[in-house]
Amino acid sequence: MKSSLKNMVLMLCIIALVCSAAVAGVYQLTKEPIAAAQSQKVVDAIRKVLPAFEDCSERMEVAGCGLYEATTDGKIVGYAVEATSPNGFSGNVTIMVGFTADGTIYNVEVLSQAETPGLGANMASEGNVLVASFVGKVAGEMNMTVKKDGGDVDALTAATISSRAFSEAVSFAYAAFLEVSEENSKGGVDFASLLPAHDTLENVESADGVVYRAILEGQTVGYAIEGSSMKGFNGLVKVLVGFDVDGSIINIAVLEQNETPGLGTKMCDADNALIASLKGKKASATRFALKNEGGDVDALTSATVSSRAYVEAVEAAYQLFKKVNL
Amino acid sequence: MGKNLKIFTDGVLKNNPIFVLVLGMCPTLATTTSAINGMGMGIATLFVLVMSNIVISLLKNVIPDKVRIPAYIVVISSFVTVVQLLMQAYVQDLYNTLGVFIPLIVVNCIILGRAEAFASKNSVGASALDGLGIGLGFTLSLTIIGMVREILGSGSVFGMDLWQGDGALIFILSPGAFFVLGYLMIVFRKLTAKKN
Amino acid sequence: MELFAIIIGSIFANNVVFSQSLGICPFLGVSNKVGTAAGMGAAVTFVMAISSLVVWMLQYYVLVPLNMEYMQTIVFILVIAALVQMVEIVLKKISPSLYQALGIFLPLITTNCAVLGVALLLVQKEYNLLESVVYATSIALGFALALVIMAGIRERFEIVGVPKGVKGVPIALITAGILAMAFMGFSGLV
Repeated sequence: MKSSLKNMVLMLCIIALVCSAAVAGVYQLTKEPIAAAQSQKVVDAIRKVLPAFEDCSERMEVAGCGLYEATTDGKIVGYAVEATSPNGFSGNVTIMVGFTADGTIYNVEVLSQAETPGLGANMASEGNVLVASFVGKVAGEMNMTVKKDGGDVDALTAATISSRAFSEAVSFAYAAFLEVSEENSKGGVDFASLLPAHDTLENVESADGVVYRAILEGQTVGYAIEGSSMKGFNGLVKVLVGFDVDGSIINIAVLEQNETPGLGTKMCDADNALIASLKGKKASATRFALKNEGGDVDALTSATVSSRAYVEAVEAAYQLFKKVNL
Repeated sequence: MGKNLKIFTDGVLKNNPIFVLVLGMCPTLATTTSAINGMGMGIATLFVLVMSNIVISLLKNVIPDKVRIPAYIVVISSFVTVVQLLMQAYVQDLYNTLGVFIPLIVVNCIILGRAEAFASKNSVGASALDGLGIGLGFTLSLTIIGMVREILGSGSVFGMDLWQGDGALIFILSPGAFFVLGYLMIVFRKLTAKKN
Repeated sequence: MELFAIIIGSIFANNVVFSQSLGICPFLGVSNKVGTAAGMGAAVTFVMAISSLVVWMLQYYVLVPLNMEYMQTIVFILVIAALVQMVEIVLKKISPSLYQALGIFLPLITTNCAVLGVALLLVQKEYNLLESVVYATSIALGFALALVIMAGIRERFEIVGVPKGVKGVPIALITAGILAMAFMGFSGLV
């Protein structure tokens, strides 16, 4: 066909328009199947990387990764984190890493990769050394780089770049896990075990410390109060003490401590000697000191200093309780 | 009928895009790490080739000469995007493996070459047949190269193990692609030379 | 440091021709003489540097805000094609001598899949603007290097007696295979 400016511009515009309309149409049509195919893959991967669980949360964006919280009966089983490293041998390496609540890597599953078959692509095969060097490890205690770079990870044979990308993706996932688990350890105190049944929990502004008021049908039923002591074996010991309105101690949770593992750290256990001697007691009738120092509290074995600090922290909380519960 | 058959078989043998015309080398070398990958790439290209040949042949009388190349590129790249989306939706694993080479079908010289040399001068039916022939030739060649590389490199065909243990890894890596294609080309020349 | 790793990695370890299998057609087609190979290499470097810049801006200032990433392929190839045309016209006006040297290679570049490939890869790798340009330029330099080495070897083939059935493309491919093996030695570098 003869070319003139008019028909050239006209035809090109028509073709471009029709084509983009067609592509947009196909995009709309395939949008759902693509999303479905992707989410099916993700769901399968989450099942593989975590112990058996009942429910799984929606995807949450944390630290550039996709994070899923898996629960059974409301209790957290673990987190599955989808992370991507752009530094694979040929493009992105996307994996799903499963962490149990204590930070142990339960399993790792490759979601997508385009590495060299026979080499880097082995990261997706059953029982390869790369995945094996992560599974069962406590993430915080390992160096997530390949051995060649001074880390703890066995690289795949002749696929250092792919192995590096894989390790990098795991470390991204761990960063996201850390962010969430830290948030939970701060805000995730189990108030139910500290307080009587309540429907609302209100953070009372107080200049002296952190106080939560538990309310049931408009009536104050108890308080959860933070108390701390700097006299722990390694400094700060911070506790959260639950009181009912009569001033009885319902339960105590340790928020922060740096005590000696196996000795002072026992203060975090559910039924240790300290809690046993304070739980259910009327605070006003309790002498806040260790038994051999003229008080009512049993100390932890071989952890007198830690126990003293604990008692001091609980007493501090009680002092605050007296101020707020008028 | 005879003429149509000739258009078709020419595409597979006499004008075999890889072994004779030496076109579309990048996907040929990069995606033939296994028989199934080669075949997937071949079929994706086949689809784009047939569709763009049909559309361009339909439009041949309305596209002004001077802008025909940009017009062809728009048509071809649209079909490539369609293939891209379809593969993402229904064969995601293959899509991930082939990676950047799916969008790169756009610059596969075979497609633009056939549009320019055949579809813009022939009827719709003949263009479709030409696309089918060339596309099949391409798919067949890719599958064969993929098969040879898979057998030598990982000791399997279409994912089925032929023997225990590994193959010679080099055939899966890029040097192996060059070697296998080079030697297969020699074999192809030898075979077709005898026929003539 | 990061940039340095990109440069060395793209030129040697992940050489576009030998390890990523991109840009094979011009690699086989224009590697008969060292002179033309160098010219082609220079032209590709020039176009790739500019196209990476344009493509990056297009991706992050137009496609992403409009939520139209799926139109990537169409938009990129059109931009590259248009860009090559423009470079040709501008070069002709501004520097006729450079045009004389590179001009004949420019039309071939549109169908060089390395150019579109790099455009797509730099988006996939989520490089920033500077990294993208450095990456594209290094990839192109790697391409030029491969082309010149290959041309140097192929010039020798003219003199020695290569068997008839092996002449041309097959021997070039086998040579490229041996070169690719040599380049694998770089893979531990980065």
